[in-house]
Amino acid sequence: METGSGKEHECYELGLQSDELEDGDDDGYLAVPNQMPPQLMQKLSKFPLFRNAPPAFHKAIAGRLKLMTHHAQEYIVKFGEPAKSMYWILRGSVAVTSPDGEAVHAELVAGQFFGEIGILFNRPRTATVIAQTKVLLGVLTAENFNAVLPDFPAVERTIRDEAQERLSMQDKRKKNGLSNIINTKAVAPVIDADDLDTAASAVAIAASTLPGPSVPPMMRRSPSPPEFTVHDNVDQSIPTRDFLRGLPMFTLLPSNIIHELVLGVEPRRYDPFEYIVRKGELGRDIYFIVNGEVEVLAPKRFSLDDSNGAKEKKVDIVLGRLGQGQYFGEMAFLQSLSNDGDRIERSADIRTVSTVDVVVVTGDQLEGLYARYPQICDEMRETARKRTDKNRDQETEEIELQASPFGKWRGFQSSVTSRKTQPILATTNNDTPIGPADSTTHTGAHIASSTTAASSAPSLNAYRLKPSSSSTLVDDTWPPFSKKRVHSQISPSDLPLNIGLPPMNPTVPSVNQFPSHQRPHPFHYMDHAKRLRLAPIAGRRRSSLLSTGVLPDRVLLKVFSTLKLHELMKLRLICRRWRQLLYVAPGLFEKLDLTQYNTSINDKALIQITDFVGSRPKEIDISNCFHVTDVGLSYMVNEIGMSGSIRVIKMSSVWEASAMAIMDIAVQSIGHHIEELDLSNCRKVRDDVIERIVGWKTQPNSNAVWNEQSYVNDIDSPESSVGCPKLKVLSLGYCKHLTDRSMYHIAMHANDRIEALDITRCTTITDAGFAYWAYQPFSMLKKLKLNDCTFLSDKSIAAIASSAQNLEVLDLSFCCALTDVSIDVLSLGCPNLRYLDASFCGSAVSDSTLLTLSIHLRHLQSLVIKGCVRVTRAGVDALLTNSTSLTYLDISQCRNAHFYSDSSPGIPFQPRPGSRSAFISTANAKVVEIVV
Amino acid sequence: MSISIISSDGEPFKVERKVAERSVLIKNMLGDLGNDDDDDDESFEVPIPNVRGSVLQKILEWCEHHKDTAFPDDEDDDSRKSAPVEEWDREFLRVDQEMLYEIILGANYLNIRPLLDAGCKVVAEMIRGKTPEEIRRTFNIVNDFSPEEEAAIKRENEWAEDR
Repeated sequence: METGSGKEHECYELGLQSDELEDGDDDGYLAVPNQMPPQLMQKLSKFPLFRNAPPAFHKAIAGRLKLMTHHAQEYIVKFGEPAKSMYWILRGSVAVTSPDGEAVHAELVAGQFFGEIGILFNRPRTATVIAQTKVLLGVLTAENFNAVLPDFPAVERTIRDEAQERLSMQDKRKKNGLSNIINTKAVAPVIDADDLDTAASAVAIAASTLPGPSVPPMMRRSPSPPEFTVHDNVDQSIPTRDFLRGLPMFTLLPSNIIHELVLGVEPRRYDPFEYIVRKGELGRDIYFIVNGEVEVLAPKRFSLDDSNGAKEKKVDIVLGRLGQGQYFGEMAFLQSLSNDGDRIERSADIRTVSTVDVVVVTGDQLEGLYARYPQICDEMRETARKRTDKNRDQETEEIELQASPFGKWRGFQSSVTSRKTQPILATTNNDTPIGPADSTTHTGAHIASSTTAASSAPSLNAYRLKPSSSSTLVDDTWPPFSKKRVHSQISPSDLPLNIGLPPMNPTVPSVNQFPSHQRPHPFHYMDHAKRLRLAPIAGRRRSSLLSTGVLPDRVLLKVFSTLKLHELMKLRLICRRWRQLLYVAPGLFEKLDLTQYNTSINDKALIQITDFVGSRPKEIDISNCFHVTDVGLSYMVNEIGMSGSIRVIKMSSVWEASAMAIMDIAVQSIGHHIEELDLSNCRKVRDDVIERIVGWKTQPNSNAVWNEQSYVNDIDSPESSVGCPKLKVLSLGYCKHLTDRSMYHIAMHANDRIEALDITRCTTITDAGFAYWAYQPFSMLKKLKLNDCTFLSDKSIAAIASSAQNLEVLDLSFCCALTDVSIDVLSLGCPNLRYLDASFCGSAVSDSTLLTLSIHLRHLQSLVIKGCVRVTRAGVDALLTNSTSLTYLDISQCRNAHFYSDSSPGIPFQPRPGSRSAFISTANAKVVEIVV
Repeated sequence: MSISIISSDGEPFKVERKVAERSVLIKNMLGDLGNDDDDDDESFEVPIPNVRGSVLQKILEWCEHHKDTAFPDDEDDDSRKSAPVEEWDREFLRVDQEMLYEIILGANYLNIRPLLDAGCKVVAEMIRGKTPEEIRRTFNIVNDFSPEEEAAIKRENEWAEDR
């Protein structure tokens, strides 16, 4: 293995479950070389490279595949090294970085592979790959690869072709200034680390994988609004070959022809609201949409007012939308086939709706193909015919609908076309029918006709050649995009042009599909304010003198406060008076704690309870009510939050809750009151949730980076910001999807108010996240819980020590990567520490660190150093002697703590009978409880 | 120093200071007056205008019994709510309903938290686990819901009824 990191390799044996590949708790497998667990085999066979290969090939490869693990932050591949192996990620994730490891270009996750071009084409590594988490890799050396391949010529052909195509795409992308966008979420994308070497792509990748503010400013040369990056990643990395072969018109072609085709196509990217094709312009290339969505427009010009003369207005009629897998430009191409040599005009405008990636097949190439395989045009003809019919229908309809003053559209339109005053905008594909495919490059000479330049100036504006420069455009041309949020962009009826390809969903199917329309109708619910208004009326409805019994209301209210929720709900049945009291009594249900009912709380129950308690709860605890879904949660949050004021919401392990429902908390009327939020183990919590919840410190300005937010603000509350401006206590334990982006956001926007933060086992957060903290003072932070953040290093602790100087409670248990340095910087940086848990931080706690602690931390009351084996009795003595404030010390499982370093035993601590605690008096006349 | 507590119907009750100070209200009053324990002869009158003599007598009986009890003065609502009623208190509160309510109200006014809690818990026990009809009978309440209304509430109570 050439990676120079062989020392840490561990091999894994058979018992590995493929579904176990998600978590990292199964250390300690023994080496069984040349044996692949069947699950891994299965997984492997799904990899794109192997998908079509025979099982015998899988076996041959698998027998030679070595499993190895790398620990977090370990180098796997280094820039410039000779390439000797390729790698499949079976578990965990890696970062593709610049040679110095500073800039992260991309993150690759399980299912992806890297390094294969290196061994196929014998190129040195062009990027550095570092393990982000502990990763399990399948490694195949070049020798093994080459030993196997000759036996499977067909597979070799496939692999080489594909790699070559990817190289070619890569080169073209570079030439066009397009980025090689990497998708970390796609199912089985194909990435090659070797591709990632240009600065341009590095920047774009960084901008896309870490959208928004997490990218340090100097890296953000071509910012794109964060929302795009979500969806333009979808299928970017689908191999062009697979894409083209998936198209009906090409499915039947032999693979060598496909190969030829793929080498000839050109990938392009367009920003939203950009014209790809203009009606009337020349060209016969065909565009295949790899991802994104475009509109087919029929531009119509008409005069608003003839007497005023020049008031010409252009109206775009949307004829249809096309999405992933569909194509356009076929009409011109077909026409060109029939009347050879003529100049062919486009029949409609094509404008992007979202960011669109296309591959362009030149008319010439296709014509050449057509000569050999005429059948490819049959399908195309059919499509063209359908589209023409549809367009005609639509136009007729419109004419009928809009009778007078626009009645002359048609005539005007036709005259316009005949006089060729349509804006003739040359686009990137303005090659003449005889131009070679490769001549289609983006150059400056695009305005073909200067005579029409004036009239088409506005459209010119809209036409962007350099995608990277268009972020400002987004602001004012937003409307089409807004539909993305409601997930209803395309309904089947909008797609008459469907050619029966894979489901066309240009936007990422959000994890947060929130069924807002399913919200149940609130049956007898009445909000608290309304109940209060109605109270006197209701009380008078019948004489209550006789019916309410002898129990005075004041006593009754006292009694109610000692009863439990479900008992009180049943008391509504007793009589009107009691019901009324239960509905309006102030002070009841201010703490709504449903944890004791957790297994029985489902959406229906939660809605009934919400209706009962009204807007009174200030603190809501539905932790572990894991049957609750968005329906119940949103109902509760909105009903209580809108008219009341919720200060605390604890919903740990309400794991069905979608990100969207949780983000509901951040709307202004609710979020305004929130002070504490516990989202531990809410599995859908991602960075965007945290950003919304925390909010933004300053209003966004013209900075294009803040597009998303200004957009959100426009929708939700025009004047004030989204988020929870009073939020002080935040628990995010086990939210494994949170990345450094959240840490960045908290550092930038909540640093001056966060008092307690819990990120137990947020295993995706790294040192980089805390690096942001180093520059932001967290003056209020008192309590920080970092349990199980096993790969945080001293750097993070140093950042914490420099920013959170008032920290009082710190839990570092199981932060195994820390060293003595951490404790030293803590001792100096956080003088107010009262409670420190450094259990199982074996490498961070030693006798000398205990001495440092005891000298510098004058307020330290409790210290837990369970399982720190380097601690000897000398350290414990030093601690007990020096510390004036310590009252609690846990040295259980510190097996050396009872001996001095020369193995002479210390005075044994005698625990009290029945407990593990010993109490001793120290020199400072304090009693210290020692747990042994 | 002895304290004379005067009920709403003018009946005086002489108690020692420790007993009277079970009532936070009286304790604060005495504290305001700055009285110390040094002059034992002085007698002090505290008028309690909204507690009847018979009820006050009962309350003071409780105070006498608990004059040396150390109640946990925690503000933790939950633990106070869940603690069971002491046996002596339960026996002490075995009185007719009207007296019970007046004791509760009196304890509330005099700010005698442990007694108030005990009283409320005793009443709560008369409610807990009973059917609506039993509760109505206990407290002499007439059901003034129409059958439709009752059915509607029962529907809303589905979850609670299953508890």
